[in-house]
Amino acid sequence: MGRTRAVLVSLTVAAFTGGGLLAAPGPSADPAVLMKARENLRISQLTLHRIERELEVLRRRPQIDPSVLADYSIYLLRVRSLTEAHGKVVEAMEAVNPQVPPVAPAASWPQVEPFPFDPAIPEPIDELSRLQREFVASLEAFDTFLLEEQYKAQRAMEDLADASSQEMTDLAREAAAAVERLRAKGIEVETGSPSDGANGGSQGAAGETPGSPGAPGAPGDATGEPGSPEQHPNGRPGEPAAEGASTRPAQDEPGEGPTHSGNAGDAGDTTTGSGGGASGSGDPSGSPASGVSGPAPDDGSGPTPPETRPPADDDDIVARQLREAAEKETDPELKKKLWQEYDRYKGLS
Amino acid sequence: MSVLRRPRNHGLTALIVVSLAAGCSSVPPGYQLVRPTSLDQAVQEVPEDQLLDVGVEISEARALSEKQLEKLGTNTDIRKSECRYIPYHLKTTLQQSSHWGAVQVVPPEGEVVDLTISSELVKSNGEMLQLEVNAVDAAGRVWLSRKYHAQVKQGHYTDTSQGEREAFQDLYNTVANDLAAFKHTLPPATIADIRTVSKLQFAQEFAPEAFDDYLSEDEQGLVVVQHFPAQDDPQMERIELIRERDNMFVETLNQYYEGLYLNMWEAYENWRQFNLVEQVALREAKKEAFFRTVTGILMVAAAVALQVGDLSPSVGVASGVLLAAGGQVIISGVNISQQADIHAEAIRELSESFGAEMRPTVLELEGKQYELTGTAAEQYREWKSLMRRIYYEETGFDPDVTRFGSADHAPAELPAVR
Repeated sequence: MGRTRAVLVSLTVAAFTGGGLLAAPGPSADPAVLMKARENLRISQLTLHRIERELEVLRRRPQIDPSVLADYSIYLLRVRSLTEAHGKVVEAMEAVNPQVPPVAPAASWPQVEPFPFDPAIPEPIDELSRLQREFVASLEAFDTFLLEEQYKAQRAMEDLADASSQEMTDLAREAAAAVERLRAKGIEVETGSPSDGANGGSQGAAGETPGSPGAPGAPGDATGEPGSPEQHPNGRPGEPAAEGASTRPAQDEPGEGPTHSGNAGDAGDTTTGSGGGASGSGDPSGSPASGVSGPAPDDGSGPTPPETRPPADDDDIVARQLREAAEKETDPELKKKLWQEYDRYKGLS
Repeated sequence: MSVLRRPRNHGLTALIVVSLAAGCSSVPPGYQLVRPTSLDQAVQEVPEDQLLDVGVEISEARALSEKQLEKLGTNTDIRKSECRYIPYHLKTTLQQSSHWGAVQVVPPEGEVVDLTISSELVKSNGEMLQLEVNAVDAAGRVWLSRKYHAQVKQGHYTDTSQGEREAFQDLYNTVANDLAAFKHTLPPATIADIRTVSKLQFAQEFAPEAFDDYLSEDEQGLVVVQHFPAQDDPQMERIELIRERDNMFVETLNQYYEGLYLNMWEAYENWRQFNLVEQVALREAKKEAFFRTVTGILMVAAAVALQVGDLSPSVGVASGVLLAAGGQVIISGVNISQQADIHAEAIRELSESFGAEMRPTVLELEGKQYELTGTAAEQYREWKSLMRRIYYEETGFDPDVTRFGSADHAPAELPAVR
């Protein structure tokens, strides 16, 4: 752009020169030629005066492109040279033709209008405007990017909430179905207590705050160890399960520690919502599925009847995993096989 | 074995047992024990010019050996999750206190904010949380540099509330209160200066040419404002527009952090409870096994001593009974020791399970964070370049000739017009 401006200025200067200086062949005694030279001088002086003022205006501009100022200064220098050349021509001609009166000084010349900017010279504000537009566009693009990302994050959160809600609903349905199955077998299950896991599950299905049915099991159940009181304290997520467990028949599967009130480890007890043994067995998320989704208690026809199994205190890791898998299993057939495997491993069958 | 030597060994035993019992609750030197603490909340609305924005950096996890991790019942995956959980919960606590402006979790050393809080996770296992917290304002003033040690019991997990109150809430409250207390010691003018400093630091980052000399350091090494930008400084207005976007970007990041925080809340709480219960049970079992084994050995030793000292039939019977009982006690000690092993195995299994559960979630979050910060960094580079070019256009300041493409394109005979 700077080079274009320089070419433009050169052409302008050349036009001046061609119209004035180059046309002057040298000192002439012809008064008409002298008058013409004087006119050229006057025009160039006016031009010089105008350009000086314009440059002054440009310099005061806060957002002026320095290259424009540079180009304009070059233009001024050229016009000044031209004016000096015109002055010398006039001087020389006046020397050979002294009877022609000199022209009035430049100061008395009429003032020209303020500088109407030459459209050929790019407005300095243009580059700034272009950058401003670029800046605003980049802000808008970034805004759009952020909005999209926020939308994605929001969606992810909603999906998470939906999944959680769906999980709770499913669990509540399973719990309710389990209660029905137990009742069908003649086992009365209390579901009215707020602490009852199964009841919470049913309520969860109806849209109430989920959580009770899925209350995670007591961690202590994982080991089947005789727990200290701390292992089943009141108030933690597994608590409702333990309380609910007290409503079931005394057909506990192995897994509950002897000191656990309520024997929450019974996976077959679907009404407890405990997951006591189940969730403590490797589900730190406290997923309630294991606690509430189990089928009706094992009838004990295949494997050793639950009440005859020894406590799980001395289960080793393999036995414990087998027991937990059996407790968690919802398929009756598979559950039965797992218990059989457990019994075989423990030497009970 | 001489009976006379027994008391000495017994003393040693007692010492060990006391150490075992006390070991769980000891506060390491240099740590502040966290007491039950309620959150100091602002009683009246803080004026706008006194609200400091806070950036809580993602925590760093102190490097622990495999043995240390095993002893704590944790692993690196869990600690990685905690490094994102802890700052987010501190953020929610600070927000609840109402002493602050915007509080956001930020990547480490990535943001210019009025007050930056960084933390190092030392130990955490559900029963205990050790955290080192540092807080420095934009001027470089250290607000806080403390190590906190908190210990909880099972009851602390009973009245938790997702996103609001957790088992170690006392620790978070203590940190928040310490920060608020320091803030109260600062004159309002200093707080206003901190805001200006961070504003100018941000401006310097994007337009160093324009704002380079606005800040300096005083004799204490604190950053101070040299002069303020004009009210209608167009460059500062543009910088403010960029800062708004930067804030939006951090908010977006925080949506993802929040997702992880809420996602892991329940599982994390359950894991911590489990770990707490099992750690206590493990300790009890070890202690009991130790007692029984030592008691059994003492009984056997006493029986042997009786037999050596007196050969009468009655003593012989008593010695036999004592010997048999001692053997039984030793055996029961061994059995309990096996139970302790089961507790330890349970802790390990559950920690592996929880860690494995969290690993993909944390990885996904890290990936998202890199993606977002990468895009933002690219955009910020572009803005910095734009700010520079705009600054040149507005001021005419041109320190080099790069704007002409190359030195060859620069006007060769520029008069001194600048």
